Formats: sequence, C-alpha cells, structure tokens
Amino acid sequence: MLQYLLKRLVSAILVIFGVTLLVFTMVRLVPGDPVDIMFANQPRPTPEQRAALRRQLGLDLPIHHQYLQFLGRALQGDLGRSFRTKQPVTSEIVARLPNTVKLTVASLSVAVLFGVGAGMLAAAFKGSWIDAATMAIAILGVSLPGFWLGLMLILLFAVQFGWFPVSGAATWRHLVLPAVTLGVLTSGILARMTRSSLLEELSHDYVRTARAKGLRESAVIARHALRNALIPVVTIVGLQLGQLLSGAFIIEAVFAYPGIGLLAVNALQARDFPLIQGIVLFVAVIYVVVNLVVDLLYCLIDPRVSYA
Amino acid sequence: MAELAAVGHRQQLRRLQGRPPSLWRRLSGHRSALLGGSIVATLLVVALVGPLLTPHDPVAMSLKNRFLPPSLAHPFGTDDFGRDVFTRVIYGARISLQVGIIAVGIAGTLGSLVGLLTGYVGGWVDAAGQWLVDVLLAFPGLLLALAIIAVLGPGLPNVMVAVGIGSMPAYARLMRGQVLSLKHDEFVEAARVIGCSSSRILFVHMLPNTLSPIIVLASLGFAGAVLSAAALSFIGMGAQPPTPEWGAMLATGRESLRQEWWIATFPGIAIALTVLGFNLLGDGLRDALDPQGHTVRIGR
Repeated sequence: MLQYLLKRLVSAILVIFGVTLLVFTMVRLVPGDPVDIMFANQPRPTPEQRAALRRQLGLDLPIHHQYLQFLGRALQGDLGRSFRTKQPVTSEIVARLPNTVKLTVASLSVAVLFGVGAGMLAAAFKGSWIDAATMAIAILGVSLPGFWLGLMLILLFAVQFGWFPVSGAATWRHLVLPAVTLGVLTSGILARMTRSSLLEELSHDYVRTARAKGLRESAVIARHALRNALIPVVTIVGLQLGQLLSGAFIIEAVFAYPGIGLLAVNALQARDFPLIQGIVLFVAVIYVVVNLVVDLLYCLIDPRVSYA
Repeated sequence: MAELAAVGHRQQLRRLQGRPPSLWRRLSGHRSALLGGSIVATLLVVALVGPLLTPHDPVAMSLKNRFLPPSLAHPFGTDDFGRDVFTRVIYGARISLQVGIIAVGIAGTLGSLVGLLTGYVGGWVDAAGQWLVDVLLAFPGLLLALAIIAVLGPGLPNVMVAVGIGSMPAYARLMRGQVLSLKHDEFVEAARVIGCSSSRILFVHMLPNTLSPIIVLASLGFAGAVLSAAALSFIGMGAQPPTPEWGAMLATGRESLRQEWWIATFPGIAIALTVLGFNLLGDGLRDALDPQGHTVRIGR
C-alpha cells in the first residue's frame, strides 16, 4: 500500500512537472513578441520601456533560465499579473474559487441524486419500459449540449416563470440553474454506470443467497448489492468532481456565473496570456491532485482492490 | 416460408458451428444502434444534398425579414439579419461533419501512432509516451483545447486542430493497451520469425487487429468533437460570423432569447440530435464488437 502510495505520488509530481513545462511552452509559442502582445491595445512602447519590460519579465534570459524563474515563482504562488486588470493572477483565481467550489458541490449533488437514483430504478426494473425510458433519458442527458440546455432553462425558468435569476452569483437562487444544467449532464453518465454496475452485482451468488433467505427485492438492492455497485460509481464521481472543480467553462459563461470558468473564457476573449497561463496551470494541478486523492480513497473504500 | 426455414436453418448451423454473426447482423438487431445509425445517415444525406433542400442562401441578409417567427416560408424562422434559420441549420450539418471528421482524424491518427509505437517499442520510449499522455490527460474537459486555441488564435480550422489534439490521449492509451495485448500473440511472433520488419509487423499485422475498439472510440469521439467545437464557437473562439455553424448560431440566438426563442432553439436541437446519433451508434458498435456482448446475443 505504502509502495503504491509513493509510486502514485511520484507519478503525480512528474505529471505536474510536465504540465508546468507545457504551460510555459504554450505562451512562448504564441506568435509575436510578448511585449507587443501586452501593449496590443495601448500606444506603442518606447525602446527604453520595451527593454525595461523585457528585463522585468525575464525575457532577456536564456529559455531554461526563464522556465526555472517561472517555476520558482509559481511555487511561491506568483503567476504574474493580468494584462487586462493588472491584478496578480493568483488573487484573481482565488477570488473566483469559492463560487466554482459552490457550483461544483451543488451540481455534483444534483448529479448523484438523479444519476444514482435513475440507475437504481433502471436496474431494478431491467428490461421493462421504466428501464428503457430511464436509459433513453440518460443518453439524451449525455448528448445534450450543456450551453443549449442552460439557455433553454433560462428561457423557461428565468424568462417565462421568473423563478430564478438569469445570471450572477449573489444568492443561492443564482446557483440553481447552472447547478441543474451541469448536474443533468453528469447524471446521465452516473445513471448508465450505476445501472451496469448494479446489474453485475445482482448476478452474484451473495445476492442469490439474500433472495433465497426471503429478503424483499428492495432490501436486496439497498442493503446488499448497492454498496458494492457504488464502488466504481465513486471513481466516476471523483473524476467528475475534478472536471467540475476545474471550472465548467462554458456553463459559467452561459449564466455569467463568476467562477474560474468565466474568468478563463473572458481571459481567452481578451487574449490575456498571463491569466490564461495561470488558470490552465492552476486547474490542471487541481485536477491531478483531486484524481490522486480519489485514487487513494478508492483504495480505502474497496478492500478487494490490491495495489501490490 | 421456405426462405424463413432456410434462414432459421442457417442461423442454427451458425450457432452449432460457433461462428459469430456478422457485424451488420449484430448491429441490425440492436435497436439503439439502428436509431443512431439512422440519425447519422440522415445527417450525412442532409450534409450532402443540403442546398437542394432549401431555396434560401445561408449567409445572404434580408433586413426586411428580420426576426420572423417559424412559418411555412421559414420553418425555423429567421435571425437578426433576416437569414433563414432552417437553411443555416442545414448548411451547419456540413460544417459539423467536417469538424467531426477532421478532429477525430487528427486525434485517431496521432493517438494511434503514439500508442502503436510506445506499446510496441516499450522501454524508455513507452515511459516517455505514457508520461506525455498522462500530462495531456491532466487537462480536464475543454481545457487543453482552450489552451491550444489561446496559442493558435480563434477560427474553425484551429478549433478542429485543438479538439483533435485535446482528444488524442484517449486513442493513444487505448491503442497502447491493444498493442500490449497482441504483442506476444503467435501471429506477431510468426511475422517476426519470417523476418518481417517492425513497421510491417506494426502496420500490416497488428494495426488491423486493433481497429475495433478504435472505431468505437471514434464514433463516440465524433459526438464529443461536434459538441466541443460547437461549445468553442459558442464562446466566440471557433467559427466566425457569418459562417452557419450551430454553436455560433446559438451564441447569436442567445442575445435575443427573450423574444426570438427559435434562433437558439433549432441549432441546439441539431447539435443534440447529431451527438445523440453518434453516441447511440458508438454504443451499438461497442456492444456488437464486444465478444461478451455477442455471446449474449447469440443465445437469444
């Protein structure tokens, strides 16, 4: 177990190193001089200003020195300053993080509630119209473009009925529509996974024994099969957690929800490279760490899994 | 009747001989695959003969026809420039197919090449390849595509490249697994013994045997590519006006959602149907190509 833990940790560190390398290279691949890009919407800098800025940004150093400088600063939480707002990238991200965390928790709750519930229902009534209808809705959920679903929910519940606000994040009511949109998309995946996993468990001998001793089907499912069936579902939930926490870019943009996703979309539209670079790095590192934690939790949840 | 008896006899014989039914037969017995296949086929026809289905021009503006609701003359209404939304949706099918084919082509070719090489060569090449794939997989969802767009700049061709590279790791990982499982099979050993070169073993002997799961992934990946490209166009990073791309049309319709609901609704339905079609077809292909699935079906 300890050996697995160490191996997994080393691999995560190597991946994060690769991510920093890729993110650093990414910005250097943008055509044009970074100084010109910084002054894109401003008067052209004088040669002195240009030289001073190149020194300040470390652009006069050899490329490997620039990378080490970037890495050193990133490790201290310094991801540079936004071209647009002139604010430190880290504080821009940290300011948006609580909103994204709230949206992640809310949408994951919706997804687990509907997804696991629908998957259980489909497995319990396998082969019936309930199974067919639930799975049809699930695949529809997977196929719907999130940004379109979001717009339709706005049209119905914000514009027509006026139950929820169209955009923003001031109150819990602002959270409902984006959370439902993201939750519906994720619940399709969870429903399909729960159904197949539960059906597999229901074919095992211990379930036959439980049925033979006269337990009701609901008890067989809820008390016996579901516990084991949910183990692979936990992995999917973990992966989705990483995805959602990383910023549901488009959905946040649809609802003008001020999270990391909207920040990224705005940065991209304004070609604010330090901010884009910072967000990409931050999100990728969060994703790797969340996946690592989920992997380790999986090991604790399922004693049958061997990591020898 | 005699024909039915003959078919029944053939099926019985096939069962006794343990010969699996053809892929087409397995697919045709799969309801959702049939539905998916029909949607995809319709999309293909619409993309091919699109201009014949509508008398309007997808980009020509007509300011006196702005914001007309759905009617017989304009089944999906008109947009803010008086363009027929139905015509634009029809022309959009061609663009979506193009995006799907190119993005999946890039992802499938690059990913398969990386997977083939790393799985076959092994050693440090495999370790480096896996590290690269792991690094690319550390960018969730659309993040990698967004990062690539940031470098390349907005535009539909760049979106295709970005979505293609963004989906490449899945193909690399799948192909590597396939190669590892085939690497020590007798037919590969035999090819090696008779002196085949590595490239011949890889591309002539192993590649055709690894394609089934890649085809399934490509079908599901096609759905993902169409969705991602539409999403990127929706935020203004993909197709630029006046291109009749579904995601970009949705973005336009969003601005007048309150009054002119039809502008955003129909392109959204087109995206959902396309993605649904490829998802159902991919599911059907997976079931049909899965040996376990086929045992179950023969028994029926």
